[in-house]
Amino acid sequence: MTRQRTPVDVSAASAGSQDLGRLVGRAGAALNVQCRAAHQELTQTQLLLADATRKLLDSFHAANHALASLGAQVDDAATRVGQNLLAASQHMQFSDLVRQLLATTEQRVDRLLLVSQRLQELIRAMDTPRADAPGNAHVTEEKRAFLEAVAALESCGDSRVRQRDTGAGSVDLF
Amino acid sequence: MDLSRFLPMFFQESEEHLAAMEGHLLRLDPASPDAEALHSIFRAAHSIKGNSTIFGATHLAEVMHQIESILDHMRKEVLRPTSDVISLLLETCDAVREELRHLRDSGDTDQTALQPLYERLQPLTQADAQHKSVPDVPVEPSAGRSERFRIEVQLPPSRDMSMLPLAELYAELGALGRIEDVQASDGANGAAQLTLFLLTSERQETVRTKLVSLLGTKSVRVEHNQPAPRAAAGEDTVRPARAGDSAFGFFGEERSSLGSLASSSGSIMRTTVFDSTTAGRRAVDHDSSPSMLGRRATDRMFFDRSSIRVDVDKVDRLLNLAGELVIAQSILAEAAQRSGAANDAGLRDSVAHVARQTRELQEAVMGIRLLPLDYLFSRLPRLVRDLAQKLSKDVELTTHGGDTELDKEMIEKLADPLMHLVRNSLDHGIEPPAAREAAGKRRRGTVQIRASHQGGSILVEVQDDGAGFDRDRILRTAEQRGTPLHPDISDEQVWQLAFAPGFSTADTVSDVSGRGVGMDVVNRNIRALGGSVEVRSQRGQGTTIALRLPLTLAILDGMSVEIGGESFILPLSFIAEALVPQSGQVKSITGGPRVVQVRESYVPLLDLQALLHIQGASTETGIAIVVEADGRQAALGVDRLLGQQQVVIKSLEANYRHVPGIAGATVLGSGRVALILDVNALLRAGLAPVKGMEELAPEPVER
Amino acid sequence: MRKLVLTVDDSAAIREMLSYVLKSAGHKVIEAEDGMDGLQKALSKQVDLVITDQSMPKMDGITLVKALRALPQYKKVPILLLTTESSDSMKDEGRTAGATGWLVKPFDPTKLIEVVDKVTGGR
Repeated sequence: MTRQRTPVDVSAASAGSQDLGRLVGRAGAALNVQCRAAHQELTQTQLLLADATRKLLDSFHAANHALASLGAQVDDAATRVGQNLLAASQHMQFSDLVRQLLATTEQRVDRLLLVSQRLQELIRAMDTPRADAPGNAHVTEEKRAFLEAVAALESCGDSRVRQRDTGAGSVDLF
Repeated sequence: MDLSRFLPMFFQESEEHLAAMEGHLLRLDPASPDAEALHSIFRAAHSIKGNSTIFGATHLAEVMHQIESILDHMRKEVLRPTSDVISLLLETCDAVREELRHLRDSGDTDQTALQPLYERLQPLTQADAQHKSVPDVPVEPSAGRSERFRIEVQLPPSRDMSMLPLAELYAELGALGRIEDVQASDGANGAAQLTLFLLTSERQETVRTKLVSLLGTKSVRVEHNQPAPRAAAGEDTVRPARAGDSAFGFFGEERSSLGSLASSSGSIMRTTVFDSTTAGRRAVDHDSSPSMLGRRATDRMFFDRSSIRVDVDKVDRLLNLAGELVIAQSILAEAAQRSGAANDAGLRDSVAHVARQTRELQEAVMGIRLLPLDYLFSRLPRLVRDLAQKLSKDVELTTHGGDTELDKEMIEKLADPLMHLVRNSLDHGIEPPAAREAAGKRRRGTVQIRASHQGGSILVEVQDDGAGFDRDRILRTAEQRGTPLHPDISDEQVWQLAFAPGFSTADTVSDVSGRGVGMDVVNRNIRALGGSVEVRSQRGQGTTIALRLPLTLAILDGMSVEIGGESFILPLSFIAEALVPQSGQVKSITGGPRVVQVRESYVPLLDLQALLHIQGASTETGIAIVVEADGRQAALGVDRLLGQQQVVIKSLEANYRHVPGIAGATVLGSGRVALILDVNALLRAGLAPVKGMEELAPEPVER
Repeated sequence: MRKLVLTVDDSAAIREMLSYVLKSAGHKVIEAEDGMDGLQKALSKQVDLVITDQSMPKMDGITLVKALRALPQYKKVPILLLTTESSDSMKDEGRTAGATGWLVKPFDPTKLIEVVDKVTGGR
C-alpha cells in the first residue's frame, strides 16, 4: 500500500473558494492569538499554584512548630499561631485567582472549539449541494454561524487576573 | 497562517478521546446500554471528527461520522451493541489511532488507509432505513437561545422605590435569568422608574406575564434589547456562558467542550468487574473509606503533557480545610485566654484538633500533584480482553482501590511494570479453561489488582488464581545457571531468583510476553523507584505479586533515633512500643538471634548496626523499639531517642542509589541528612535465616 | 464599634475568611453567596456595611451596588467591592455605580479592618 504525500493542510478541504480562504485566514489568526493567550494563562496558573503551595506549606509548618511548643508558653504560641494562620489565609486567596484564570481559559477554549466546529460545518455545507436549498441558502447560513463564532472568539479579552503587576492588596476609597 | 503548531494538541486530544471511547465501549451492556456512555462516545467521536476536518484528515472525519451515526442508532434502539459491533468499533479506534500516529510521525496521510474499515462500518450506519438520514449540521434549537430584555418598572407619582415588592421582583427575575444591569431614575414629574436588563432564555411573553402578575399591567414594559448594556467583553468573560448559546449533536446536549469529556466516578471505592467474553459489566460499589479529596477532574489542561492537572474541587476542599483550621485556631485562642494553663484538657484537645487539621491541609495541598491509580487501571481491561482472546483463555479482571493516589511521575513509571505483571498472569499464570476444569477450578480465571496505602507506602498487588510458581522448576533452572543456593532457602527467596535477567522456565517462547523477560525488568523498575517487589505463590493455587512503593511526596511522622552515632528516622506507624531492657532481659538463643523480653514474651532483637553495616561503637545498654509490620514483630536496638518529628521523605534512589534497609532520606532542620529506615526490609532481612541484606537482593541496582 | 456586615462572595472559603477576620474584630456578619442572595438579605435586614465580590453568578457586584443604591434605605450605607479585578475602567464603573471603595484581593486582614472602621465611622 503506497502512501501518498499529502501534507496536512487546512485548505485541502475545499480549494478554489476565495471567500472561504479569507474566512479561514481570519479564523487561523484568531486561533493563533487565542491559543497563545490560553497557553500563557495556563502557565501563569501553574506558577501561581506552585508559588502559593510553597508559601502555604511554609506557613503551616510554622504553625505546626508553634503548636508543638504550646506546652511551654501558651499565650505566646497562640499569638504566633494566629499570626501565621492569618498570613496563610492571605495566601489562600490565590484560589480565587486560579479559579478566575481557569474560567477565562475555559471560555476561551470553548469559543475556539466553537469556531473549529462551525468551520467544519461550513466546509461540509459547501461540499454538499442541496436540492432543497435554493441559491445555496444553507451555505450562507453556515457562513453566518461561522462568522458569529469568530466574532465571539475575537472578543475574548485580556485576562483580567494579574496577581503580580498591579493592585493586589490596593485600596481605593472613592 | 500556519496551524501546524496546533497539531500536537490535536493528536494528544484525539488520543484521549479515543481512550475515552474505548473505555465506554468496553463497558457497554448489550441488553441495556447506558445512555450516558453512548452520549460520551458520541461526543468523543464528534470532537475527533471536527479536529480531523480542520487539519485535512477527511478520511478520519468520515469514519468518525460513521461512528456518530452508529451511536445514534444505538441511542434510538434501532441497533444493539452486540459483541461483534463493539469489536468492530474497537477495531476502528485502533485503526484511527494507528493512522493518527502515522500522521504525527511522518506528516503525510493516506486517504485510502481506512477504506476497508469504512466499508465494514457502512452497513451499520444504514441500520435505520426508516428514519431520515441523520443531518450533518447540528440544528440550533430556537428555545434555549438567550436574549436580552429591557424591563422598565414605572412607579406611581410621588411614590418611591420602597413601595415596590422589590424582594419578590428580584427573586422572580433572578429565577428567569441573569440581571445584567440596574438603573434607577427619579423620572419626570417625580415619578420614579426602575430599569432592569435581564438576560434570559425565556420568551418575552413569559417574562411579561410573570412581572405583570407581580406589579400590574400599567407599571411594566418589557422590550428586546440587543447590545449588552455594559462594555462588551466585560461581563461574561469570567463567567463562561453556559447552556443556551448553541447545541451540538444529535442528542441535544448543550455544549461540546473539553471539560465534558472527563468521566466521573464518584468518591466511593469502586470495584469493577470486566468480563473477557462479553462486553458486559458489573460494577460493585463499596462504600468504604471515601477518598477524602473526591475525584471529579472537571478542569483539564491539554496543552502540555507534563502540566499539572488541576482539580478545582481539590482547591475548594483545600480552602474549606483552611477555613476550619482558622475557626479551630480561634477556639484555641479563646481557650488559651481563659485557662492560661498548659495542662488544661480543653486546651490540649484544641491543640490536637488544630494539629490534625493542619496535617489534613498539608495532605490536601500535596494532593494537587497526585493522580488516582485508575489512570493506569483503565488501560487494563482492554489488555486483558484482547490477550485472553488471543490465548483462548477465559479471564476476569477486577480492580480495587483505583482511587488510591500516587505521585504523577510514579504513576507513569508504574505503567509498564504493571502491564508486564498482568501479561505474565495471563500468559503463565492462568491455565486454559480445560486444564482449570480438570484441576477442579472454575473455568474462568481471575486476575485481581488491589491498591492501598500502607503506612508510608503504596501497595499494589496483582493476584491471579492460576498455576502458581513452580518451585522445583525454578530451583532446577537456577542450579543449571550455577546460582549459589542456600540449603534452607525459603519460598520467598526462591521466587526472588526468578527475577534474575534472562531467567525463564517457560517451555515455549510465548510471543505474548517474551522469554520471561518481564520479571527482572519489573524488579529493576520498581527498585529504581525506591520500592520493592514481593512474590507469594502457591503451586496450583495462584500467585500474588506485591509492588511496594514509597510515597515520594509524603510527610512522615517519624521518631528520630541515634544508632552508632548516626541519626535515622523510624516511621512512627511501625512503632508498637519502646523500652529500656534491663540486664537479664536480653537473651541469646543458641546459634540464633538475640531476643528481648517484652512483658510475657520474647521478641527477636535485630542488630541494626550489623544489618546496615554502620561503623561505630555498639552499645550494650540502649533502647529497644518494638516494631510491627505485616504481622511480624521485632525489636530494633538504638542508642538514643532523639525526638519525634515530621519529615518530608525524599526518594533516595533519585539522589543516590537504592540502599537496602533504607526507605528514603530527609533533610533535618540542622541541615544534615537523615536516613529513613525501611522497616519491612529490615524485618525480612533480620528474621530470615540468611545474614545481612545483600543475600536478599542478589542484583545490585545499577544507576 | 460593633457593626453588622453583609459579605457577598460565591467562594465559601473567602466568605469564611472574611467572617473570621470581621468577627475577630468584633463585628457581626451575614453571608450571601451571590448578588441576588445579597440583595435579598439586604432587603430583609438593614446592615451597616456591604462587602461584595465583583464576578458572581446571578448578579454581579456592580449591579448589586446599583440595585442597593436605588433603595432609599441603602443610599448612604457604605458598600465596598472586594475583588481580583484591578483595572481602572472597572474601578470607574464601580465608582459611578455608587460604591464607597474598591479593594483588590488578596487582602491584608489588618488593612481590611482599618478600612471597615474608616468607612463605617467606627472606632
